[in-house]
Amino acid sequence: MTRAAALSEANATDAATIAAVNASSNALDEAFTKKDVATNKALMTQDHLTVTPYYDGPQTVDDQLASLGEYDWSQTIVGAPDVTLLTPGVALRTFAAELKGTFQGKPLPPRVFATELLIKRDGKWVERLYQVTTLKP
Amino acid sequence: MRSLFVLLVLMIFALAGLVEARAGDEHIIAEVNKAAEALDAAFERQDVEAVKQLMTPNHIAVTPYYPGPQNVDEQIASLPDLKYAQTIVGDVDVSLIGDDAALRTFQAKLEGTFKGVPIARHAFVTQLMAKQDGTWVERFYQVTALKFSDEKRARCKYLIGTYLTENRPKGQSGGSFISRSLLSLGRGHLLLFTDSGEGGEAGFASFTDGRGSWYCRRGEDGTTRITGTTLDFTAPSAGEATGGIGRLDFDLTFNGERKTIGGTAMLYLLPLDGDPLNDAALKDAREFEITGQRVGAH
Repeated sequence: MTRAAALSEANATDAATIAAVNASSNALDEAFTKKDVATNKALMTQDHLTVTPYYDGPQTVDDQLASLGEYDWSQTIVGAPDVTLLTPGVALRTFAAELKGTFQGKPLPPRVFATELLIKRDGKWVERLYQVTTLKP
Repeated sequence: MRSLFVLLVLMIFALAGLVEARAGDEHIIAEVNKAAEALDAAFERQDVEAVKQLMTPNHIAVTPYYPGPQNVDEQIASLPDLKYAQTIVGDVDVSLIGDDAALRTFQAKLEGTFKGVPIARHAFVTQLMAKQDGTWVERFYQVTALKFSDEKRARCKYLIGTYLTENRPKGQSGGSFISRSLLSLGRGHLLLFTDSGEGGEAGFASFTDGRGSWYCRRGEDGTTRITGTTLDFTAPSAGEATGGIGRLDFDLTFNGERKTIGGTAMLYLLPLDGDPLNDAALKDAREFEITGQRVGAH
């Protein structure tokens, strides 16, 4: 395989890789719902960033974990997540979702678009960025 | 043995390529920034061809003002509906992830409308850039409207008022001031500037009061920082038919305990037909150090 070919965007043809990406994301969602700090940390990079319309600005791992107790969150993915392998070690996972719950007592936006950027580190897929944008009703 | 060594070296390089680089390669980061800025500029001037060239064909944009995720054609079709200006607030962060992919993020102040509806004013922007055929292009763009925190709202509201300043040329903070000013930070980000030297002084023609905008944010060291810009008009100098436009860019820090401000102002002078809002047109800055005390009611 040439370098150029290796670096070009793969079009989600590697079912096993995509399954691994989805498994990691689903595990992180579950850990978030369970407020499982250790698993959350293990499935995010140290320089992870979370951006949502309901947080007070971009959140680091520590910010996010510190506010887990203020969260009442459940997410239902609408349709199937789209996973694109940007490079062999970088995946972009996007989906529309319905959120239910509150943050700091305030309702979460009901309909959102979520982006997860995952990278492969030490053979394991971990999340580097999580970003949520409110969609119009 | 030699082939094994080469293989090991190749494996190490391959693994290293998958590890996220932490903004170590300034040259690559400059290229990423240049491409991203060119795309922003293309959007602002609604240049369809440039927009197409600077995005991948499978590009997706997600914003709070679009009706949903938009592909390239949808974005281009709605360009006339988008009246948009973006001012980046703070630093742009570029992380090189894997090979030939970069994550570019920043906070921005957005001004404008989409289909006549005002767009979010304070946003976090993510651009996922990919290098294709030797050129950096955008693969993904996402905007999230940020909540204006109660703490930040309170912090910025506290700055509102008028400050009496002393202004000195940069590097002469111990010397006597060359002018004094009244700098007013008003509601709605209104910034007003009146200077004691408006009647003209050595090296400066007379000029008017300045008006503009200010913005506040939390500095990395926890301080409250104020950035702002005012514009004014200068009178014609001897032999000139027309005067000019002056632009002052303020970068100040607020001391809440003493109710003081301190920092710098950069002065730019342009001909009357110049564009003072185009950063590229600014040159020959004169820098001043500013200290000021809030004017309280007595």
